Amino acid sequence: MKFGIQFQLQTPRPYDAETWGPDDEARIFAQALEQIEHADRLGFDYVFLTEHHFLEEYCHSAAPEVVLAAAAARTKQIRLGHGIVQMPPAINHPARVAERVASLDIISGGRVEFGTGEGATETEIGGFGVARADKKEAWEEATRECLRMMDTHPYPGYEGVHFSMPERNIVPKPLQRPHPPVWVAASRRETVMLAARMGIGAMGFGFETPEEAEERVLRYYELIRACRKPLGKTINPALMTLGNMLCAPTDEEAVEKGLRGAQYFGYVFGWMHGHLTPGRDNIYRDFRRKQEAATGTLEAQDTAVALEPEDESARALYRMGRRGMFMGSPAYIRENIRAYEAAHVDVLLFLSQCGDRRHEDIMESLELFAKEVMPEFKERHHLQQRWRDEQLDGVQHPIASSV
Amino acid sequence: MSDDARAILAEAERKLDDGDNTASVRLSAEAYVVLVRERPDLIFAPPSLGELKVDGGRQPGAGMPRAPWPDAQGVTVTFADDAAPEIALAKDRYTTSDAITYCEYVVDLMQLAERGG
Repeated sequence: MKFGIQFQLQTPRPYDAETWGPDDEARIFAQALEQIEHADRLGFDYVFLTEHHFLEEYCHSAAPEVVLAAAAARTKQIRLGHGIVQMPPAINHPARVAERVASLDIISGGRVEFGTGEGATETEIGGFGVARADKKEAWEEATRECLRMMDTHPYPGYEGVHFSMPERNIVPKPLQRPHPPVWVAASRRETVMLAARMGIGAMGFGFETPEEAEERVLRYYELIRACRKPLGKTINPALMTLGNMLCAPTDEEAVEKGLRGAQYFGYVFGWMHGHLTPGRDNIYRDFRRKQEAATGTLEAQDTAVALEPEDESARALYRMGRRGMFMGSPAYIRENIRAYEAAHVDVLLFLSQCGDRRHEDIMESLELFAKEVMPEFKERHHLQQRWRDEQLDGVQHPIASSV
Repeated sequence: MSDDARAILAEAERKLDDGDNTASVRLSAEAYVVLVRERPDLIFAPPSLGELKVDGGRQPGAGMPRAPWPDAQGVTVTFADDAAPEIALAKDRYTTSDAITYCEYVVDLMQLAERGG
């Protein structure tokens, strides 16, 4: 199994002020870069940066290619992932995506993972005029053409539904030829299988339990073997799941340091689905007040249930935050990871920077995890690779994958 | 469970492989209707349930509740009170990703039914 860290660059508003101070965002960005550098030294395999727009407090990572470029300059081995690029052309023109991904791949020495997605909330897709009914179609068209742009000399041009452009040679080309490994954000089971049928990796943010993951993994590889029309020139058969992680010497200490940040993550994510008033909410303050009012009472449980988002993706993340599969002592986390390892998940991606979680606690957590938990899974990764090779026996398409 | 839904779904997969996405989408919706008729307890309550009386609750041993029918991809299925279920296709043509989404949704539901969920 391989391990990565994921960043939203979450930036809660101050509890006692209406908006952020001048240094608040700069501090979060600087700390994230330190955490990435630390993870690289500790042997983590991946860092993924999300892309969201207008989702204040929840995600200030709106230009991940910039942060990833800074990370590339500070790191040696860690792979640099877009998790994900929002592909509807109204948000990111496919030619600009191809140029940016290729540039990052060049300056990082071929370390890019190209995660793709369609955009999520009405707040962000509506901000760019993308209709909900069109976003998956726009994703498919833009991603397919973006991959062609990376590999054709010149790109012959395209007349499509969501974008058109004349013949151009799109440069630079990525160092990883024909293109970096491709992923898609897959919060619903159907999207995991869509990934398989298109020969790309699934970033399965909707894997709530190892049991669900196991069923999905088997079906995913069955469909990979049957894949007839891959989206790109190479396929990336790989499955990744996301969990909130805070590792500390004892379970109690981990919960004390990590739980509130995870709960806030779920809370603010739910808020993004329908409640947001641009520029005027203080979601962090609302969260803290509700939490303080309910602490230690039966109402606390009711509050948690009442806040569950209706949207499936949002609900999965909300529950993930409350459950804390990877929040505990090394022994606790190790036990939980073994279940995912048994289910043949290739990569576990950890969300550590969230809410008001302290930078120092995150740095210590990454270090403890890397020393006490990671080694046994890294040592056994060859067994996963052997199993995966068996699953891929007879696959017709060339494979380009970092797992 | 009858073989009807299974046969329709197999045809939906064939259409998907042939690149006839719109036909595949329609067949997946038809398979979904047959499945829901036979096993209304498998799904989250659709918009109008009428006589099916699905309570939308979690069945013991059934795992997590199913995600709702993905109507954002342009296909709605309405279970009217006293009429046959109605399938409405909002688009003239569907993409591969639309067709896969609907097909795999029904595959999952069928697997759940076969497991006795």
